[in-house]
Amino acid sequence: MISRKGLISIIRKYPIYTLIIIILLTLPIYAPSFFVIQIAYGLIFGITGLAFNLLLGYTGLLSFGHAGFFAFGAYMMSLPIRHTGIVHTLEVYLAFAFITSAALGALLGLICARRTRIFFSILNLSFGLIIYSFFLKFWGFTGGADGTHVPTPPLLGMKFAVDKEYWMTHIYYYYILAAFFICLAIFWVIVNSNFGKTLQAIRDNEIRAQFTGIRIYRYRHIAYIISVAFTGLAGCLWAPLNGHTAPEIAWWTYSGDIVMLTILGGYQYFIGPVIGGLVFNVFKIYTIGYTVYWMLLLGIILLILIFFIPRGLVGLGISIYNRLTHKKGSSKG
Amino acid sequence: MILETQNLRKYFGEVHAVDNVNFKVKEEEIVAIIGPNGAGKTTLVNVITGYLKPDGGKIIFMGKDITNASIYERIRAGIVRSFQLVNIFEGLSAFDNIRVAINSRERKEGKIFSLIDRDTTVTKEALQILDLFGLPKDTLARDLPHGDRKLLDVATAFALKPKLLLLDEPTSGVSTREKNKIMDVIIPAARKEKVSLVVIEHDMDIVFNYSDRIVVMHQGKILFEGKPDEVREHTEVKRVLLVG
Ligand SMILES: Nc1ncnc2c1ncn2[C@@H]1O[C@H](COP(=O)(O)OP(=O)(O)O)[C@@H](O)[C@H]1O
Ligand SMILES: [Mg+2]
Repeated sequence: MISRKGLISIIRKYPIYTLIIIILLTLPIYAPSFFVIQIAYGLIFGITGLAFNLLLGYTGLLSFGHAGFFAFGAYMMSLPIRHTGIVHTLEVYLAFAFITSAALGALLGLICARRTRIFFSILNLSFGLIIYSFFLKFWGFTGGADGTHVPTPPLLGMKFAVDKEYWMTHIYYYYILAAFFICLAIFWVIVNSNFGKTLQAIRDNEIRAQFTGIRIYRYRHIAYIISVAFTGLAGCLWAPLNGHTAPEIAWWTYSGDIVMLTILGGYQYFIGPVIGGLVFNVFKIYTIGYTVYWMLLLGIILLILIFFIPRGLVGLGISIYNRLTHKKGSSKG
Repeated sequence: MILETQNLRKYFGEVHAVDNVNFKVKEEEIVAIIGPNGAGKTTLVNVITGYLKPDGGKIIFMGKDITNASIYERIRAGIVRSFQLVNIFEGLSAFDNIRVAINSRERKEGKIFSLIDRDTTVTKEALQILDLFGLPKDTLARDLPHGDRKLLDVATAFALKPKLLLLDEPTSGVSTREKNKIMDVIIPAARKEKVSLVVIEHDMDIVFNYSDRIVVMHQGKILFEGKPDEVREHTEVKRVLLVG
């Protein structure tokens, strides 16, 4: 366990992250339900972003198909319920979604782990579209365009006698928050492990990596499996929150959202896609509410990002923080 | 003999980059390959290390035919190279460049749940190598000055503990003073670790000072080979190198 002194020094060192954690932990006490639910979605997109960024930020591979894997994970919950009529505790589906998504990643990785750049991106775009069409066209099996209803599942084997809104904002919210922290810890370990450094070496220079005795395809493949598995897991967490799975979540514009939220947060930073996930979702929801031109707004913001803050919100935050505290150079996020 | 090529050939269309070359390296020997630009030096190294497939001939390493071995197999057998143009992991610190190489050598580059900072043996060895080459620890490779980048390139190859190390112009683009500094690190380290070393080098002073044997290449062929003194006296070699 961390000692009290250790805890205080961590808080001193990372005041902003401490503040964010406190806000996340206490949010349901004072925030309106609608906002709490949006943050729950944001946390799930944060997990998705972490999984996606293992490829983009750490391996140098840009996928345009991750919405397909997210949808796949969600359907791994809705389809078994649709066909058996039995609702197990959520963990069963999370495990199932994780394993089947990993298997999907293993299979598709055979095709795309040897490709990079535009070839990798386009291959994943087509995987996403194939998954989309599968859920759309096999209506007898998947419910087609109408999708499939997802009932509220027991959590850790427990049923809660509360209304849906309270369940979402006070119970499932904390469940998602816990899942989020676990995923955050897992990804932190992965990117700071031997394997994580090996991925970064491959990203920086695959020829040199090869001549250092690194089997680049094998490790790209493993990174891809991990990424798809956790994206599927995020999709499965999303399903009961949304209460419904439909093919449109596999549509390529949602893959674009995942790319965008990661760049918004800052793909060079570990925490970037998490901040991106939270901000992007809140931004999207509120601008859709206020203007029909939200796509235009998003486009403009993306332009600003690329030209003026290429290191994303986290990069921007760090440089502002450093300027305020008169620190030179950049520290890691 | 640790390495021996037999009638090794590599053609690029009309260009006979490597033309029936019989190139030999003895155990613990330091061999320099010299020759004018376009002589085929880099191509010879590319074929030996598996970067290019030969069009003909054989490569024998420690008694085994490795002509068709993969890059990975050659590295595991102990053949390591550096590149003519700096080829390092630009986004990683010098320290991490070395640690990645050590991890690979120790076959623990794929461990997902062991934090790289927790590995004290690898950390210690990496720090020793950085110290040996006089490199800073935390500077990102891309922010290092050119001389240090060349050194890091060599240090990374060194960290793999090769049996045969091929360095393609390890001192190109640095000042004479720095050239000597680089060679003064590489040569004693190679002697100490009993590495057979092949160095492609342009600077004649360096070549004559540091090598046991010199191989002169010209138009894809070995023109002459011998001790530094023999090469110095050879008129044909002088002509080629001056014209080169
Ligand atoms: N990948 C390649 N494709 C076509 N020609 C090449 C290639 N690599 C080298 N060459 C040619 O082969 C010859 C030898 O080149 P190289 O081995 O790089 O010479 P050196 O290293 O001695 O300067 C040159 O004429 C060069 O233009
Ligand atoms: Mg050359």
